[in-house]
Amino acid sequence: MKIQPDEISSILRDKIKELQLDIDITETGKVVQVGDGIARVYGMDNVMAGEMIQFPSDIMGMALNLEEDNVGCIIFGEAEKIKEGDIAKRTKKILQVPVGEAMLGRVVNALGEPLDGKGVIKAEKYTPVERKALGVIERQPVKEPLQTGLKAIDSMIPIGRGQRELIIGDRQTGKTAIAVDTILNQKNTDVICIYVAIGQKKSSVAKIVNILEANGAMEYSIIVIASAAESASLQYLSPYSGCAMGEYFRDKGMHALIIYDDLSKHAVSYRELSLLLRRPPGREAYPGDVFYLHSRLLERASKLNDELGGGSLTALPIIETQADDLTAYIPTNVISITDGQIFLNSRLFHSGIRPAINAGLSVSRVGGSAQLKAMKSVTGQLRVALAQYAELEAFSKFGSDLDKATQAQLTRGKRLTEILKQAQYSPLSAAKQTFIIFMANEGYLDEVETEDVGKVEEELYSTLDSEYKEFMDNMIKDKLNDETKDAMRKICEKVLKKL
Amino acid sequence: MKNILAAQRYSHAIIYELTAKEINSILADIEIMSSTIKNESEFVNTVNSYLYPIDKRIELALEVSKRMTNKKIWNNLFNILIKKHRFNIIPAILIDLENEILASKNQVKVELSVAHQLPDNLLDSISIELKKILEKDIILKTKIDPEILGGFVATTDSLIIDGSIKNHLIKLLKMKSKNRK
Ligand SMILES: Nc1ncnc2c1ncn2[C@@H]1O[C@H](COP(=O)(O)OP(=O)(O)OP(=O)(O)O)[C@@H](O)[C@H]1O
Ligand SMILES: [Mg+2]
Repeated sequence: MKIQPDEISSILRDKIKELQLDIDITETGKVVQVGDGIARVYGMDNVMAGEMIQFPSDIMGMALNLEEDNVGCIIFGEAEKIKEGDIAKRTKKILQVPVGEAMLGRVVNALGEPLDGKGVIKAEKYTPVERKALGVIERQPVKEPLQTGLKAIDSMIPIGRGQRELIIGDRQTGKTAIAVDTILNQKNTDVICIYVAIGQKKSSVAKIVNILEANGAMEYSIIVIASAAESASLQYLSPYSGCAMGEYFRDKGMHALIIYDDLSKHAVSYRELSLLLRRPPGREAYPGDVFYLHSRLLERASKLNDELGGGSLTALPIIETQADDLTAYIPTNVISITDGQIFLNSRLFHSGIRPAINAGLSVSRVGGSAQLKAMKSVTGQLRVALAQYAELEAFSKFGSDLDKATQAQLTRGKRLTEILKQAQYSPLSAAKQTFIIFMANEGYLDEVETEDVGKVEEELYSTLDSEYKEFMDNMIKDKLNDETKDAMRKICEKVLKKL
Repeated sequence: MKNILAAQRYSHAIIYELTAKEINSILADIEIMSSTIKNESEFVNTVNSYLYPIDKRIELALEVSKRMTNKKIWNNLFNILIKKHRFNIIPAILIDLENEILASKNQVKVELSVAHQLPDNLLDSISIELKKILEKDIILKTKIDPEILGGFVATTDSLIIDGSIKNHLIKLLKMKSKNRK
C-alpha cells in the first residue's frame, strides 16, 4: 500500500488536533552565587529541604539550606557549567536512586549511575535517598547471626542480622579487610552486600572490586563509590544512596549487609559543605547537626518484625581514629549510636596479631542473642581464658617464678591468641570456627609449639573437609552435647596423631 | 546576591513613602529610567565612577530625573545612592520596585513566548488561562521564539508555565528512554 503525502499530513493534522498539551507549571529561582560545588538561589519560596533542584544543562542539585532570602544548594555534577543569573527550577521531588535486583553486580556512583561500563541499569524502582527510619513497632530484636567468617569476631563479638556494629581503628589496621572478608563470607548465603566507599582513593576501591570479582562475590554485591576525586556533595550523599538500595532488600523480607567505609571521611565532606553553606561551626569545626548526620543513617539499619517480612539490614560503619583516640568528636558520636564496636589496634597489628582486634575494648551489645548455640557453647570459656591471659601476661614480663597453674594459663592464652589470628580472604565456616576453639579450650594445642599451631589448624580443616562433612553440618545445628563433644575429642586426637 | 537584597531594602523604603496617586505615576517613571539605562549603556557606570567629581555625577543623574513625574523621590534616591557609591544597583531596584507595585495592585508581568504570530482570539484565550493559573491580572509581553515549535511558554519572575510542544516532546522522549531501560 502506498500512502500519499497529503494523506499523511491529514492524518498528522488530525492527530495534532486531538493532542492535549498539558501545561507544566514550575517554580523558578535565580542563581545569585555559585562556586565550590554550592549554589545560592534567590526565589523558590516554597522549596522543601532536600528537594532536587534542576539547573541548566540538566545538572541536578539539592536544596540543603533554606534561608530567609535564598536557598543554598549542593550541586551534583559539573558545577562549572552553572553561571550567575541562571534559572534554577524546582522539581518537587526528593532525590531518588535506582534500587532492585538489577543493581547487583554493579559499581555505581552516589546517584546510582553505573561506573563499570556494563551499560545502563534496568532498575525496577526508584526510591528516595533520605527516608525516615522505622519506628519501634516495626522492629524486633536481632535473632539470626551474621557470620563474618572471622574467628575473633564470630566467637567474641558476634553480630546479628539488623545490628549496627562499628569497626574502629587507626589507619592501616585492617578495617577494610574485616569488611571485605565479611562480604566474601556471605557467598552461598541469602545476604546481599553493599559496600559504600566514601572519600577513598580510586586505586584502593579498584583493588576491592577486583578481589570481590575474583572470589565470585560481585553476584550478590553492589558497590557505591564516591571517591576522593568526587565532590563533597556526592561523598555526602553516597551512604544514604547505598542505604536506600539496602532497604529495598530488607523491605522485601530479604537480608542485606551494608558497609560504610568510612564515616570519618563522610563527616569531613559534610563539614566542608556546611562551612561553604556558612553554617556555624562547632566542636572540631563540625556543624551542630553532625550527630544527626550519622544517627539518621545508622537508625535505618534494622530487623523488621515478622508481619513486615522479617527482613534485615545490618550496618558495619567504619571510623578511622587518630592515635587510638576514641574520645574525638566523631568516634564518640558513632560509638554511642551503634550496637557495639570492633576496636582495632595498630600495636597488635604490628605485633602480628591480625585481625588486630582488641578484645577488651570491643563489644557487641545485642549480637549475643543471635549467636549460634554450638558456637556459644565454646566461647564462654574462650573469653574467660583470654581475659585471664591478658592479666597474667603483664605479670609474666617480670620473669619471676610462676606456679604451674599460672604457667598453664599462660600457655593456653598464647594458643588461643594464636588460633584467633586469621589470614585475609579466608573466611571460615561457623562449624570449623567452633571446632578449632573447642580444640584449644580442651587443651589439645597446649603441647603444640606456638609456631606450629597454624599447621595443626590446616591439618584439622583438611581432615574435617575430607572425612567429616556430614558430622560438621549436624554439629553446628545445636548446642554441643556430651556425645558430640566426645566425637570431637576423637577427631582432635586423630589430627594430632597425623602430625 | 547582596545587590538584590540591598535593592529590596531601597524599593521597600520607596513604596512605604508613596501615596496612592504617586503609585500610578511612578510606574511610568520606572519605564523612563529603564529605557535610559538600556539606551545609554555607560550611564550607570559613569554615575557610579570615582573618576568624575561627585557633584558632576549628581548633576548627570538629576538630568534624568528631570524627565520624571516624581522628581523629588528620584532626586533623593539618586543622591543617596551616589554618595554611598551604590548607584550600580539601580537596575535591581527598578525591577523590584516594579514587581512590588504590580503585586500590590494584584498584577504580574508575564513574558509570553509563542512559536509564531498568533491570532488575537487565541492570545486572548491564553491570557485568560494564565490569569486563572496565576490568580492575578497579567501584563502581557509577547515574544516570538520558533525554538519552542508550538504552544506557548509564559514566564514570570518566579514561575515558568510551559505548554510548548518542545517540552512535550522532551517529556515523551524521556518516557520512551525510561521504558526502553
Ligand atoms: N588478617 C590480615 N592478615 C594479613 N594482612 C592483613 C590482614 N588484614 C589486613 N591486612 C593488611 O593490612 C593492610 C591494611 O589493611 P586495610 O587496608 O584493611 O586497613 P585499613 O584500616 O582499612 O586501612 P586504611 O586506613 O588505609 O583504610 C593491607 O595491606 C592488608 O592487606
Ligand atoms: Mg580502609
